[in-house]
Amino acid sequence: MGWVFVSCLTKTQNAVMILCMSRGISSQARQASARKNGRLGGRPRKAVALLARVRTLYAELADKISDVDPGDALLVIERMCRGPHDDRVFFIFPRPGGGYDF
Amino acid sequence: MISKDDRFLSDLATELRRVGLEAIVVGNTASILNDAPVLTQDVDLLIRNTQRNRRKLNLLVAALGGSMIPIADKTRRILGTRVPIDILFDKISGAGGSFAAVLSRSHQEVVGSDILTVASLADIIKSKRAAGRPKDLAVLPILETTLKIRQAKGLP
Repeated sequence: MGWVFVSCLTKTQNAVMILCMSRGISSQARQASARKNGRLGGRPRKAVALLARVRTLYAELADKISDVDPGDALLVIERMCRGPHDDRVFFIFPRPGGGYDF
Repeated sequence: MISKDDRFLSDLATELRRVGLEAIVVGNTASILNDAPVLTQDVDLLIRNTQRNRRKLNLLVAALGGSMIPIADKTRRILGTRVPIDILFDKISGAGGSFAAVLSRSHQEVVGSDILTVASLADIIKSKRAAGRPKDLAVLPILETTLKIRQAKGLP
């Protein structure tokens, strides 16, 4: 419902609305998901746990991999922290009209 | 939550075990199982080229509901599965790429609710460098970075 309402507004009003939603001021959906998921504002608990594991491992290895590009290192470390139950993606599927699906 | 991709690999591992076919995952699927942040369009399996294994391979194809076509003298492709499965007989590119040598450096990885034997990242890098195709060379830098980080963590 929120998105239908936003789409009726001007660009400036949209921006203000999205800002308010992102701050949790007026989004009932956001409040409902916060109630459901605790204080995470709708972010899944597993995502928070994964982020914590990535931070910990990155801090642990930082000295040993100082010559590695930090962006690449984070990608690899995120992979390291994902187990078989963490929604791992392996394959891409070419679309007939170009591009790929996951 | 187990992803569709993990479930597919898990089902593949289960069928491999059921038909008794000893196979090592090589190629980019092995890279991903060795933590490389890449994606792929198929699964490559290395098996020994024996009569018994060829019979087991036919059982595997039937169990997976696919069909197999030859794509080179020592390579077969199984189609009709979620992603194509390439079967390599006896060796992968690069020195020390025989089945026994790759197996001796391989390790086991959990996929979904089963286990697959996966080639070491060093062997994958070696084979990609030896293959020398543009798509193999393109992925080398990130594989080497991954190997460096794995070694920093004390992994093979």
